[in-house]
Amino acid sequence: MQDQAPDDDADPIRRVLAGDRDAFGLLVARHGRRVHDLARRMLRDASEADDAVQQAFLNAFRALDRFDPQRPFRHWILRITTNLCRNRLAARRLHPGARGTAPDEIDPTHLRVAPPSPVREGDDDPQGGERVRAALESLPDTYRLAAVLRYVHGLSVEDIAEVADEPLGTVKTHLFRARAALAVLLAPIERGSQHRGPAAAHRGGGEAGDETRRPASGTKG
Amino acid sequence: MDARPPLPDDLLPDPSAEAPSAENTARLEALLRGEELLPVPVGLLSRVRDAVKDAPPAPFERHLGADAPNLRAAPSALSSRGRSVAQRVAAAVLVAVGAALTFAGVEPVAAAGETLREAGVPTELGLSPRPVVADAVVRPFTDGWSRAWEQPPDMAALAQVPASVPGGPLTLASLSLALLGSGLGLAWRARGRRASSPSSLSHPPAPSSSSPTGGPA
Repeated sequence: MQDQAPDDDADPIRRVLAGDRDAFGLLVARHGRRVHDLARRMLRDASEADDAVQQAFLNAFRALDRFDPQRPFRHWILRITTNLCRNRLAARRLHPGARGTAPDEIDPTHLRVAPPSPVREGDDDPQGGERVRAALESLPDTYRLAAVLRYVHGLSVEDIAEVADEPLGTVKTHLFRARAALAVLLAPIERGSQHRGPAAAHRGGGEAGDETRRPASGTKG
Repeated sequence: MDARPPLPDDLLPDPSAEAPSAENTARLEALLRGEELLPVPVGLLSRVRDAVKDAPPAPFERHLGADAPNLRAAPSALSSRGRSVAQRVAAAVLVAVGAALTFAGVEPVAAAGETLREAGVPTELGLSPRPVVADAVVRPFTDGWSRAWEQPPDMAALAQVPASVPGGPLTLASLSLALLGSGLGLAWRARGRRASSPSSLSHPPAPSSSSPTGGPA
């Protein structure tokens, strides 16, 4: 995942600030998938993630004159999304009957006994990508945020600290603990990938393109 | 025994005792980096674009004026803020004129009094032109009223005032009160419009002014 150069976003931002709302569509097109991914993985609920994406871009639009053009727009919109997701997760904890599952209600052992996903023809690792995604979703919110931004979005530790609005040391700790938990959760896949080689281990990401094929993970509300 | 399900942290209670080797870490990270962005639901981004297009004017757009190419606000001679200011000014003028005519006895009242005097109506009503205006500097205008109380108006003479006399006391009082009332009504409407300006019910709340990114609740 390459960083979007700030200059690429500078032009549409200037146009939006000059009153051209259509130019905001460029920003939505460029960063929408990333924003959706973060919201979806943080909230673990498709419809709530859609709401969060829309609200994140609306908030960014309204506050665009306060955006620092020296910083990447991508980090700014991810930070808005992160805070929206945090608010929604906090609201869930206050109302446990609502959508989603609170982090401390997750049983990580569920991942080990998860029923196998439907096998796609020609797929020699049908459960790999599914389990990586499920393992990420099973992490506590803070670890999940760090891990998703680091490994899925490819942000540096410094960028994660900026997006999450947390000290660098805290981010490193979250990443370390997330890795330790993921090492256990994904141990069977890792062992399998040792036999099949790295290509098989990487293939899990390609499956993410088919949303309907994936059953809901045990942690999803 | 604790029935509560363990957190992932509990899976590795002591990371230093079971720290993954560099090789394992590299393999794990490679596995995680293979995870791609989730697909965006069909139509989500276009819905977001439409929501932004239909959103009420952002704070920075309110200063753009008519030059902005795609503003949602309908063209108008005055902006909503300008209309509100104009309405308040008009209300203030109407109230001031109405109050002056009603209570102060300024020139229009004096002129009306002169008309009455020419028509033969006694001027002890407090509508006398010169004395009221001249004495206003040294005496409060209520003196005129007190004199009027002391010397009740000659109602019979008043009744003989021809209806066509311009600025008759009833016409004048009605006009004054009408102006005062319309001014107060306009001020009330302007206040009501400001109170019922677009609410946040139909749109998600904007980020706080202190932090555009919003913050955890």
